[in-house]
Amino acid sequence: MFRHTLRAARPLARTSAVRAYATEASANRLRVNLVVPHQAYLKQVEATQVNLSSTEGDMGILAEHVPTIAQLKPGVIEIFSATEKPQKFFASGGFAIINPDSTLNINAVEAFALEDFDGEAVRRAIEDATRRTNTGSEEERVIAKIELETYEAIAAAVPK
Amino acid sequence: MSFFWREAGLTYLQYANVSAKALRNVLKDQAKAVAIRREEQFAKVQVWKDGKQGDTRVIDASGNKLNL
Repeated sequence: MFRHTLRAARPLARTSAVRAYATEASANRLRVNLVVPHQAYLKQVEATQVNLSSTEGDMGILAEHVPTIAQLKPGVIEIFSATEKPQKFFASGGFAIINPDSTLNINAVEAFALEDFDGEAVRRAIEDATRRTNTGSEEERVIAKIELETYEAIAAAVPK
Repeated sequence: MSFFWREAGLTYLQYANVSAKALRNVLKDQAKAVAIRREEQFAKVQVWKDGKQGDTRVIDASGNKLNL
């Protein structure tokens, strides 16, 4: 009976990884994959922190983050690295999946760098979408509301 | 948590595509030209009857008025 207990206890003693709160002092890095259906923007890029905007709130993801699946809101994804300048992308939506091995997979439907957006076009689009939220059928209004959410997020993110 | 679009009868897929289309709409010219092609979806419908090909009808759901 005791011999069995000893054998069962040994695997536990061998475990060295300890789940703790993610800290900035962590030696591990995040490995980030940012993909859209037609292109992979980032493949296994090492990052110290990634900021993104989820339906549950804004998140700052460090290495050893609790494994999570987060639904993205239209918003900026910011990737901080130890060696490079921070990269920013604006994604229309999608999912961010944080795995136990600190890989972060961001699957977006559409995403572009902030420089690719036209500020004037966004302003006009906001006016147009705002008008459309009050006219038309129920479905057209909801579609206009979704578009407005996206346009307003872009307006907040893109520098003038 | 129930989303407003879900309550109005839209699916996540429809929501995601509306959002993506809105994003493509406000890109700068160069990026937009490449991106707008991703919206092109069309179907050519031909009805066959008695072994004969009927008229061709083009269904262009994206409304981008492609030249075919």
